[in-house]
Amino acid sequence: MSSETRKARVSVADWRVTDGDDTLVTSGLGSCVAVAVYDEGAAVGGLLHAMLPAAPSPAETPAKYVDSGLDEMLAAMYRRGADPDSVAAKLVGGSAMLDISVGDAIGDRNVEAAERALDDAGIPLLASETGGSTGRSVTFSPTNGDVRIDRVDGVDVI
Amino acid sequence: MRVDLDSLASFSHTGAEGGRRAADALETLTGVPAHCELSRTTLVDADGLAAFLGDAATRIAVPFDGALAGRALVSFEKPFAARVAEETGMGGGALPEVANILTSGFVDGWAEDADGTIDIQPPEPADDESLVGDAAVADGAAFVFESHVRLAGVDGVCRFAVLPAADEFVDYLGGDDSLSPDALAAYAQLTATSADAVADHLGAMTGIDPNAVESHFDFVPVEDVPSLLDDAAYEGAVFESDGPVRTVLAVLFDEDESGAVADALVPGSDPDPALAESAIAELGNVTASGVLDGWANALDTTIDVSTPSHVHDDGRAVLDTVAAAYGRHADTVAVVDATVALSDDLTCRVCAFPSPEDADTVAEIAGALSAGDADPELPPEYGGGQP
Repeated sequence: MSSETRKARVSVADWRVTDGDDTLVTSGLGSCVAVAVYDEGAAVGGLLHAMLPAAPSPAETPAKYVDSGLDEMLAAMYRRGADPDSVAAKLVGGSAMLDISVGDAIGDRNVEAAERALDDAGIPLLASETGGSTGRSVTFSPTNGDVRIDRVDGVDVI
Repeated sequence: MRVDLDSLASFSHTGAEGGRRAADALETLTGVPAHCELSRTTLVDADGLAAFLGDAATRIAVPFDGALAGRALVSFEKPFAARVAEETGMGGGALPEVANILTSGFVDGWAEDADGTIDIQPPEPADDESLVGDAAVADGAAFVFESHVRLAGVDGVCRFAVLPAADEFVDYLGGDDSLSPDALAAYAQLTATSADAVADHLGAMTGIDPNAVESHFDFVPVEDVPSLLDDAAYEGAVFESDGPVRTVLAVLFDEDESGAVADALVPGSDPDPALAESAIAELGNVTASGVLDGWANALDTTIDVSTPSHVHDDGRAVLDTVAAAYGRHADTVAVVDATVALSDDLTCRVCAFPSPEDADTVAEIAGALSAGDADPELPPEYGGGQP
């Protein structure tokens, strides 16, 4: 899941790790969450776009879930040279755009699952923009940790 | 006659795997990371097949035969074609090669499943007239495996569609009555009826005679659902139905021009945002009810529609939320997908996602509509049309 280009796209239920100057991009976050993890010193970063909080056992598609997707992505980052004691995270997404009963509050539960999984892994959560009722797209620069968030009503960088 | 949606979903998995293999093959050829952003198994009405398959000017066909026979049809958006030409150093000659590579990647998976070989023939041009040919599997509807392949950092997609030849595909399905051509045709009928209801109700409400109506019935891996729409802004409403078929139904307007939706509803005026939102919710409500009334009539029952969630957002984010909602229950979801062009500037997209848990009831509706047991009816107040 590596990239050799400057802007690599991360699909839904997917993650991607890079160790260069590339940016990682994922679009269309509704109730899904994007978890950006990086080791600035090693210039290694990863971006996960997860749909659901917790994986069944066994999980056929680990990247679909916050917990198993983060585990898988972190393992790939550490293989690339990221130091477990130096990584930090930022978190985006988990909105509640639709008032539908199916999947009720899935956005909130995704955010809680991400915060819990990062805490369990001992990774500090430096910044987040979660909840609300708008969609978001994320552009992540692992070399400096910047996460640009595009919404229909504006842009922020965390 | 009832389509077994689980059987159809298993075909969808094979199609999605084929799409992934095709993207991998393209990455190997170009050296640029490639991924398959959307894979779907689709029933498309033959009349709408050309529009569904994308730009005819860049379309290339790759015939194949053996364990499965048919044609792959590959079309390229311009930025994608230009990057491929550049990366391969082959100029325009790269596109037939790419079509060949994608097809080869796709059919490898099928050949493994079929325990046989599939031979690929040289690429050839494919105009609109030659499309349907022997591909229509079910009473005028073609069975299509379609993937959208993207290259990292490149705008535009490559649309890659595989159309199995009808007779050979029916043989391939063997004695599986749950996937008989008649049963598949029932789903095409369900979709066409729903699209007609959308067009009729939108036309009656806005007074605009729709330019074009397209529809197809998709099976989509749940993680690919957001890619059914692009990341442009859509305005509309999302509903949930209760009753025999629980359904999430999105009525979304793709605004080429800001304000086009409100202008169509209240021509010549400049409505305040609250009025525009209310008007769009009402239009969505009538449209959603029109679709679901047709389904309810088929079952001789009623289906209730929830209060709408108004949305004005990235289309993918809207469907991302639907995908996550169903992601706990299913790997693959069915989508009744209709597009109605009201004008050059205003298109309405309706995506209905029946709950995977109510698949049997959807099959019952499809069967009833196909048998002509229930004709869709316009509510009397909208039946006469408007100037």
